[in-house]
Amino acid sequence: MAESGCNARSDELYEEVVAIHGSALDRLARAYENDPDKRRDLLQEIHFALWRSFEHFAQRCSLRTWVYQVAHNTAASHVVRQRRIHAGLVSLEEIDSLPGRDENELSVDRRAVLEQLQRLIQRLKPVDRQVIFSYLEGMDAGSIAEITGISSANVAMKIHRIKNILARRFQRGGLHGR
Amino acid sequence: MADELRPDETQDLWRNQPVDAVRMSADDLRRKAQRFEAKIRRGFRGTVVLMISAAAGWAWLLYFFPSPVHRVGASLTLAAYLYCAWQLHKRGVADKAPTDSASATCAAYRQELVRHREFTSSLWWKFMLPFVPGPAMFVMAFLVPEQGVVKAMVLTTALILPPFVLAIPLFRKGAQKLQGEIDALDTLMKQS
Repeated sequence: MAESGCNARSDELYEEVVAIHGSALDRLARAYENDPDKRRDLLQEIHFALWRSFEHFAQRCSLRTWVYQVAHNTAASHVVRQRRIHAGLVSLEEIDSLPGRDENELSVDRRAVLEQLQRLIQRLKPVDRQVIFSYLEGMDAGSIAEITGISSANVAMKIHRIKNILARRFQRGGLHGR
Repeated sequence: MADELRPDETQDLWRNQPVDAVRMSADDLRRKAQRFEAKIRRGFRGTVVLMISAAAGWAWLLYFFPSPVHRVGASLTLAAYLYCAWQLHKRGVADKAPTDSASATCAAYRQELVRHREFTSSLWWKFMLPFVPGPAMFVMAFLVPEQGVVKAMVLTTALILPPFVLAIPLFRKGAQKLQGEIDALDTLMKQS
């Protein structure tokens, strides 16, 4: 039964994780789902998956790595289930090769910049989405490599590309209209 | 450029966005676990009901059309329903299973893509092919006495073939798309 393995330790770890990473998990759900109702469902699904996963947490990696692996895996499954895979998701490389600053993407206020950023992230394939999300959350290349399972060198290369893309597409002027 | 956002500004903007944090209590989570199990049980019951309904329908045909060819056709179709119901049930249980442990996200995503590719490429023979022999025999049983064997075979083929002609390339294209994703992930994971 699902319930049997989830004990007091799962509850404690879950409480700890929600206190530390709760906001980041919400942002992670935003990186994967635009529709508010579906996003809330996804977020609940992530919380549920995390709670269940703590039964198997043997501290072979940090709690943070574990949390993001479970959360990203749940969200990536959500993307595949939603058939977004067929809806023209692109890689960082493909986004990078698109024309730089699109007039439609010029920002008018902080909220608009965030929406543009979310739209950009949601266009990416899941692995690139994980890298850009982790970068925006302030993680270093080593941590991102541990979460995703790709090499630090590869992550560093992707981060370099992300910085270029973000610089080309987002202007400081967009933050003045708060 | 002077008006470009610095990387740390973009990060600040992202991290300081208003959030709608979810906090589920232990009781909520246990209730969700129970609901999850209930959903699986309901899915299983649904499959059983589907199987029984199909069985009843085809049993009625077995009774209503007593000729041996009709009966073989009805029996084969009944077997196809049962087989598909079992496949759907198997797939449903695997689909609804939550993530129980963490693994590097690339590997987990690859596994998910492989599962979908296998499902997509097996759709036509798992869920379409089983429904060929039974209905074909059933239709033939009506057509042969009136049209003769050759004409009956041509008509039956004309009836059964189009869905395959349309569906197989679609499934194949879907599987190829997924395979492309898997190959890209493999390349990424090899570059270590």
